[in-house]
Amino acid sequence: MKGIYWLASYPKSGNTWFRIFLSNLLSGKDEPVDINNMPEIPIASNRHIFDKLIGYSSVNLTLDEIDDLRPDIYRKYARANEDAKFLKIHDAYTRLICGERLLPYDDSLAAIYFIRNPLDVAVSFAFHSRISMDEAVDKICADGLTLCGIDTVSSSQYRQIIMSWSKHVESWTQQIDIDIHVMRFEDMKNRPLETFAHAVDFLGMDDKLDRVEKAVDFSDFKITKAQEEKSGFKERPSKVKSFFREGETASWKKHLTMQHIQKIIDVNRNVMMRFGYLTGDGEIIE
Amino acid sequence: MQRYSYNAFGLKIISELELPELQPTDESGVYDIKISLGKVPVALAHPKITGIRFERNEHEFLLNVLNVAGYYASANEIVIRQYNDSDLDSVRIFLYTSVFPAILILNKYLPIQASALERGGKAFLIAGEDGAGKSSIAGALNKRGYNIISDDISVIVSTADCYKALPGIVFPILWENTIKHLGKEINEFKKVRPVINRYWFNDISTEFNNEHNLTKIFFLKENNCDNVECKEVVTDKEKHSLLIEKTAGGNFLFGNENKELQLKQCEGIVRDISMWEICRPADMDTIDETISLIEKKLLQ
Repeated sequence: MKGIYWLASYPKSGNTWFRIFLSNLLSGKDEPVDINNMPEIPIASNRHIFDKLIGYSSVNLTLDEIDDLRPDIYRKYARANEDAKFLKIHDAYTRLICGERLLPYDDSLAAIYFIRNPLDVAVSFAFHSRISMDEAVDKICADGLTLCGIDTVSSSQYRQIIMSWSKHVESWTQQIDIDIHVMRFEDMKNRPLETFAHAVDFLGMDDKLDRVEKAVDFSDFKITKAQEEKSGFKERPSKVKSFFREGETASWKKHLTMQHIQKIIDVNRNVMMRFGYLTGDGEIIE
Repeated sequence: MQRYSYNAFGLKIISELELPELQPTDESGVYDIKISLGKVPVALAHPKITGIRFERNEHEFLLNVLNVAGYYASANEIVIRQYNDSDLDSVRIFLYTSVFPAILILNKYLPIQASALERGGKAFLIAGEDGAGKSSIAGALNKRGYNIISDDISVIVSTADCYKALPGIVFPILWENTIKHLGKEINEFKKVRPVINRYWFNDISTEFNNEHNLTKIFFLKENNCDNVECKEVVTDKEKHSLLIEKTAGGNFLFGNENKELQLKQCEGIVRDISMWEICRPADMDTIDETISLIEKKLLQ
């Protein structure tokens, strides 16, 4: 079956964890896959991979001109492959200036959307990007957040329009073009077998529960962390000590101030309530 | 209509479009490629490969850059149809960076995605993907006395006793931040397109000795290392794969019919030229460290 399965998320929300799980599930071996040698699931903004489909280098295009090409890029990518392909994506689900959707829904099979408590996202984002907690909190509350959106320097990725955490969540979960399954990071952590099995079922992969269980075990945080400590991880950003840092929930308690917490809640209240991160009274659910 | 004559990549070009970034030459004699302005087909009659904005077969290449121009190329001809309201700077940049590699392949050359430099008769290439920093490094090395033979795309030819990089487009195209890094003001330079912040860096020395032997190839690679690292590429298999990977246009432009020629051309280079892989931390300014490493290796 041709088409694209989107693994979509705000950054630092469990996307990589799921890719490791998926690699273990597909490998079917009796040992964990090497995290540096997983089957390739490229990020949809990878300039080097997707420029090859265009015919000219996107470095000579404006950021908007590149966006205009992206629906055709993914359409071509989907149709050029015999089998379904997975693509990781951090872009919000948006329309282009011309009105066309950024992602071709007619060539999309489905999407899994990974969501995580924005308080923890802020902490993880700060460590990953080597920025202060203040800055990370500002970023996830900013409607205009982009990644690789500066047009005065070169970048190995296309610009990604991310927006604020809640706008990002709403863009994906309220669209009706692509069939979507939402996975909460906290459920992946607390009820892994059930949560991952649901995702496998949603993808129509028809895998037996014992295989899913083995893949869940092999993608456990302790195993991936140990692999990174031993051999490194090619997706770790430069100058960051490790990609797999704590893998815990509620780390915001250790790192965020009351002001940080209040700001994130004020900006994202409704969506946090909707996805079980706040009670109706505004209390944080751990 | 006025015609202009140029030399680039060992080819004599006659053009109806002025191409100020190329080396001018006299109009006499035969030419290898004619560039004219005119009608461009909507599609090729028998395309072998169809991309999003291009088509190609063994003998032709067709490119459509939205809102800029359509380009049709065969081995000895390029026809350009400039679209309404587009500017000539934009028309030229896609001609240089996309149509030239295609026409070089149609003429059985091996264009490498690399900048070529020389000093003291010894030439070397700095190869890498778009955005890997080839032009920035070339521009900075030029400031240290190395002459640029060709930026971004380089063609290697074999002679009786060595390999040579042919002169191409010598001006590096630099991002705004790199120009500032080199201590220059951006308003001294012309944008490659009015709408993007990349500039023709024409503040370079270009006089070089044509008798230079290609001695080394450096492959730039971005990864998550914390510092710039350099290692020699030892096995022929690895060297071969890096060289093939950096063939400008890659598999999409080359296609199977040219594969054998491509492999054959790479074979000798792999055997005779030493190659080095330079890993640089992504998204960090490491131009100075990279240059120091390259200079060290050039002395070996």
